[in-house]
Amino acid sequence: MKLLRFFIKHSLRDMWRNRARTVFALICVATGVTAVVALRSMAFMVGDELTTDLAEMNRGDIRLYASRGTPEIVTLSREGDPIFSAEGERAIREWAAEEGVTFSGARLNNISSVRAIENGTAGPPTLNLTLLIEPEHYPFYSEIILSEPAGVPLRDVFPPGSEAESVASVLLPRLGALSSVVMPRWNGAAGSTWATYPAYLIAHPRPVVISSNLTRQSSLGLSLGDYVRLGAPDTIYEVRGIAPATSESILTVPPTVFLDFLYAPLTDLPLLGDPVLPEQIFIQVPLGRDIAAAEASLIRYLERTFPSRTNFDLNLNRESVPDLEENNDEAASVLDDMILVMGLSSLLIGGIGIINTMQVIVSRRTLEIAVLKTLGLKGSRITGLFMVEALLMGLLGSALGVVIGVALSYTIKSVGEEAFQLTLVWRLYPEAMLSGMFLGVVITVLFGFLPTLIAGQVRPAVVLRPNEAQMPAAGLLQTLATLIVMIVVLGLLVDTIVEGAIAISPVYMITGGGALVGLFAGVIIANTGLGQPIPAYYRFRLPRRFERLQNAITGPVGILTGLLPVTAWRGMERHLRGQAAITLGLRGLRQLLLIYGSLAIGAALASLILLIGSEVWIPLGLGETKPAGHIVDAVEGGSARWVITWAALTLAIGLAIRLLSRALVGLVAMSTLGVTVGGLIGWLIGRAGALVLDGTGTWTFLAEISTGIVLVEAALAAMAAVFVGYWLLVWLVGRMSGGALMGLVSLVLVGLLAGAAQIVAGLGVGALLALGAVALIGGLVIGRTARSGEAARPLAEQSRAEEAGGIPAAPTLRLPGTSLLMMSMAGLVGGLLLVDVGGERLWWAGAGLALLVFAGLWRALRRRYKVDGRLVLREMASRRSRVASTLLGLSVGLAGLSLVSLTTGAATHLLETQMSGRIEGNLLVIARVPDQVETIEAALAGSEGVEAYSSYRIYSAALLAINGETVSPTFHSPEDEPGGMGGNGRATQGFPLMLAQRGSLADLPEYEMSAGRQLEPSDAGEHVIMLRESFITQELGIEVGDRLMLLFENGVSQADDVMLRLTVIGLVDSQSALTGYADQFLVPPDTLPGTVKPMNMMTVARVDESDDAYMDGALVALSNIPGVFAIELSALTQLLESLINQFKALPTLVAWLALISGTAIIANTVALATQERRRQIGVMKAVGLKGRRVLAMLMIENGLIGLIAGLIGIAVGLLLTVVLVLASPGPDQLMDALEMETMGWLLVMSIAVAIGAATLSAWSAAAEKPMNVLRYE
Amino acid sequence: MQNETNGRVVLRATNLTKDLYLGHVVVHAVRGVDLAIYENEMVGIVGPSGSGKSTLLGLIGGLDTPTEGRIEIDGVDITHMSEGRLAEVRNEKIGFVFQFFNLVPTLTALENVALPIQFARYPKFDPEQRARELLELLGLADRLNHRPMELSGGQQQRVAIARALANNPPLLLADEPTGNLDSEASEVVLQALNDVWRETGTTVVLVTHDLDLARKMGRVLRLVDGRILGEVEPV
Repeated sequence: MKLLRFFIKHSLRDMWRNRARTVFALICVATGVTAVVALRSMAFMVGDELTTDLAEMNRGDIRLYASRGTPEIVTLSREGDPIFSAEGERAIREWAAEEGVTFSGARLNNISSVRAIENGTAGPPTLNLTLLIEPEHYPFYSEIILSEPAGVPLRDVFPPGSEAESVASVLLPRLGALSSVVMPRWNGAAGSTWATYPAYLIAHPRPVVISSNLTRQSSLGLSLGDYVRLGAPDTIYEVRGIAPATSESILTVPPTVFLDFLYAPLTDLPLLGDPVLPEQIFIQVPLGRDIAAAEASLIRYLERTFPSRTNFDLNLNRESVPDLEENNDEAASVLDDMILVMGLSSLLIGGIGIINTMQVIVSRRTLEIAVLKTLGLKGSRITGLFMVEALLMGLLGSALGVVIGVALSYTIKSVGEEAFQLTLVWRLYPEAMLSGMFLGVVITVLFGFLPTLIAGQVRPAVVLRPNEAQMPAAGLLQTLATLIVMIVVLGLLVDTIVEGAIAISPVYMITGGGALVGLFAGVIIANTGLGQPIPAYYRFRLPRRFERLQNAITGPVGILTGLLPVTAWRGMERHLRGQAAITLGLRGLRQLLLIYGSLAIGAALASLILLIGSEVWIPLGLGETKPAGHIVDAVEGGSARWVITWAALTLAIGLAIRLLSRALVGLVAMSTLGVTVGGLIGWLIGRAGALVLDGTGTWTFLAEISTGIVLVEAALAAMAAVFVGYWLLVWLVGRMSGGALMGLVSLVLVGLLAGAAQIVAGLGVGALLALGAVALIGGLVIGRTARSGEAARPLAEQSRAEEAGGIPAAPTLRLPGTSLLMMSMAGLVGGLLLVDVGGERLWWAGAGLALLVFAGLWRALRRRYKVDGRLVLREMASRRSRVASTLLGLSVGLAGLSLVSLTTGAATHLLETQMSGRIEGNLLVIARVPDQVETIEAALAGSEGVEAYSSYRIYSAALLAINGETVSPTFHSPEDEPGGMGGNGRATQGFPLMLAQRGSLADLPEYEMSAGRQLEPSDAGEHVIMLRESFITQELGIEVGDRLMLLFENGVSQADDVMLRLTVIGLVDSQSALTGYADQFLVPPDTLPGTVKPMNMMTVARVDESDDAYMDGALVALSNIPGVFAIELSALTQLLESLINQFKALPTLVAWLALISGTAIIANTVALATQERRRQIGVMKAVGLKGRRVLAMLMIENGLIGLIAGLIGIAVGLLLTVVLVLASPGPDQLMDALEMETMGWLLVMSIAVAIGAATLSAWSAAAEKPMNVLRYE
Repeated sequence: MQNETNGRVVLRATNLTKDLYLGHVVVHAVRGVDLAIYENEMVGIVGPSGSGKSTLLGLIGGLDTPTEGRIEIDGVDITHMSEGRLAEVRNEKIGFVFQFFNLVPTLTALENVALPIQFARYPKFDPEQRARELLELLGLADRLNHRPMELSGGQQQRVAIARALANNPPLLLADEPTGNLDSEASEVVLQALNDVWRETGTTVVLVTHDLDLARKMGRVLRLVDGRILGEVEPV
């Protein structure tokens, strides 16, 4: 106890004494804990929204959806959507009355065009969602309070009204319209612009309540008292109230995520051309009654009322509060787990910083440790002392992280709202805070474990040679023990999150563990004598105490080898001969190991090349058949060409590794051997365990935890592989010359200048000239500095000449480098100004000038600062592991950011291109009623600016069989529980797809076909189909000539379905540049029988975009057609883009948090490194190095790390983006889809972050007085 | 300084050898040293730089293990002891005084001196009381609560001497104890060592390159190239 008190006191004092170092360590822990606490709090906020006030969310205790599968109570609306039939509604109302529950109906899926009426004229339409409700009931369990008039409930805006009024509101306009034929219509003042509308409607506008978003819509800009039209009918609505946009959400009415909404009474449906039949029914069960019992009672009632084969329990789509609770609890739990994993990954990055910090703490206190050992403190207690310090740092850092995390959770609430389209309520979540604390402490202790073990190994003899005090290397057993502990602890942690979501056999767990331990063992052994080349003078010899054993080995070997005709061994004593033979054998064994390792790495890389090659083979146009993805496939497929290719690649890469990387080949061999041996031993132990323990509690327990542990093993292996890659990269970079580094610096500076000029050019000529002045001054300074080094040489030569008594040489001519630099700087800016004006030739002039500047800059920097470059690179090369771990931390965050921004940028670009350039038009018209097509075409034909249009009918179908062979269903619903939003409760089969029937084939675009031919007008009425190649056709193996059996759903009952067999006549090339609309599965006109009802009728029109009035006119003309809505494709693109932004909100946040963790690591590493290098810096300053050059060196070093991390991070995002674009229907868009500007900004940010994080420490190190350092070091 | 021995050997080294491997080069730092130091002796070991003084001190202090030979401290053979057992021996039987003091900077003088008692398996003294007594003995009664950075070099070294005596070890090893001090402080420290030897009877072995300093000990051994060449006449 006393000792523990001493440890705690001593640790706290040391932490206070080395405050700066402690702060950085705390920051490393805190950033990770912040991420966990903030993200988890957000997850809990979302979870709370999902799991509280469920009845309010559900708009009742039970929510019924009209869906196919219950034809007795469901019919189709005019647009073909399922709604409750009159009989169905009546039956449910009767049940409700009998049951003593409250009934309310609504139509919540009515998409209609809304047009503001100003001075009697309706403006252009916008699509919105009209929520037709029973205001006196909607919603149950809460109240919608309007923002205008403030505080007024929604129901008060809609007066109950009499039945007579309802009849009048329907009939009178029609009578008015009729009477206008017989007698002049009375419209009040002559010449009024309200002449369009029947008088009754003008006098009696219907009430409507709009969402607050509609007041901000630029095309509508509605306010209280404004008039609007909904859809085609003439009915005028007056805005009587404005409801907050948050009144509805993804949880209450999901389409409100995409569309703004307004409320109107359900009884207004006849005015909109539909009967008053709901599409959803809400049931409120009195308090205290069992909701499940009420649900069961409803089912029984329906079964009694409609005796048929329909299984109402299975097919009636509904959601009750208990169902919602169960589903949402699970969703919240999954979200929490997902977010916890994201937060944990940030914490693990922070763990890298903790290892670095603990290593430096130990190395800085090596002498102190030695002294303590001389006083009698044992190694285990030394470990305990540092463990206490690590624990304290973990506690303090975690506490700090919790505080910041709570504050951050408030800030990122908006990210959660964006991502999940929910309104979140912020509060403190103790569970998030506690989990952050716990994980922070565990990670700190886990990652700090090895350095504390090493601390206990410091040799006490160090105390006699303080200048030679060095941190001992980690022992093999210690490292492996630490690794195993880490795998087990982290694995258990992860397992509590994944909870056996994937079942993995313990055999794999043990095999993987063995391979990983073997890998680490190999790497460690490679760094010892065993990994080094065998010296030429080496002779096999065991330690003296094993002399007898040695003789026992060398004797027989000597005898055996005496039989061999080896001249060099003739006449040798047998023990010596045996020794020589064993030495030769060891050398041979080493060579075999090296070759094995090299070939193993070669095989792995060859397999990776094969895999990537197979994915890009077809997209890059290298061939028509996708090659095998890996060697096993190639062998099984008998593809000799690919087997030989793989073998040749393996050999080439293996030989290259063996011959070119002599310094690293030991590492390669040992690590490969370690993986092989470790994996084999692990597998054997696993198999033995399975045989012996299968069925026992131990094996069951192992099986339960194996998932988490395997995931951790995979993550650690990936991290180790990346770390080794970075280590090799740093090794390579360290071999650069100082001059080459200066070239890199020059390139970055020129790039920054060019980028700055591009941006500044947009601000105007003045700004550009200002930048030019800055560049000029910079050039002057650099030129002068470079020249000062040059000027010394003539003087030195002069003095040497004088000493020799000779005539001093004439001063040499000033080198033109400086003037060149200055002129070029100015020229670059001027050149870019001209580039901005335009002209390709001028672009080349600008590029030429940039090259000139680069050359001048490089020349100047190289001459003056080559030695600085050399020092920087040597320093990096001497701390490879530390630099590699810093790169790892920084590049993870950058990779995340680049992945999110580049892929979503490319997706947005592809979307825009697909939608605008390729879709045969810019206006999409959707009709739900089949007989509207002619009216639509007539309206388009009559609208000015409409250049062309094509019509399609879209059908929902299921592919049942190909050439008679059944296609596996993608899901089966007979066993599904009824309920759940969106389900149709009907048993489905086959592969679902959407199929289009074009109105005319005369205007079909020319496609590039990969097989067969495209449809022709003569195919009308034929049972043929044309497909576009996609992953669906590849997965199903569809080819030209195949006969597809398709099932068309045709009503609410299966009895109405139609089956049709179509023959594939052509496959459109997936890369085909010209695409029409809905041509994935295209049939000719008149092929489908008229009895098959389409889901939608679509017309795509191309409208002249030179004047907005053309589009407005077309939209207005179309809005007068009932059951039709039109949308500009640009608006649709915007909607989809906002969806993309929604999806990327959360990953972007996580990437930023990871980047912040990486920044903390780099700041920590630099702080520690500058502390370690204080003496070195002091000595350099003592011999004349100036402080600002020290600063510049540190900036260049860290800037280089930032550059490398940035390039790697961008490469990750770039690679995935390229794959995404190549796999898309628009691979030719690759260069346009890649956002170079984003990549540039990411690179600049990476360099800036690295330099910025290092500035504070570097500044103080550069300002340090030499005597301070040399006195106290 | 007179040696008063009673014939009990506190330190015996037999054929002590230590080879250091620096890359491919082998340095024979200590070669076959035979040494016997008796109770209550004050012994100086003198030799030039590179003669193996620090290495020898490390061996006899249990800070390092020999390549060959044998070491006994107070009758206990420490040659093949484990690191844990060696720590106990260092705590109980040996006190160290170093050239650069090596006090723990975050602890006060009192706390520094109390450390070995707190590390002991079976503490023989009350740490604070014992520390106080030793510091008073060494004339630092008014510096008990000062940190090392608040003490002069001579004061720090006296604290180090007090710390070395905390568990009343039979043997005190001093490695160039005045090497980092001016002449005045050196005198003070030497006097302190002398007082300690006289008051406590602890055997003192002092290693130095300074012959004049070494000759102030009761017995002086010359170390050259890792070997004891003989004794030097003390002053």
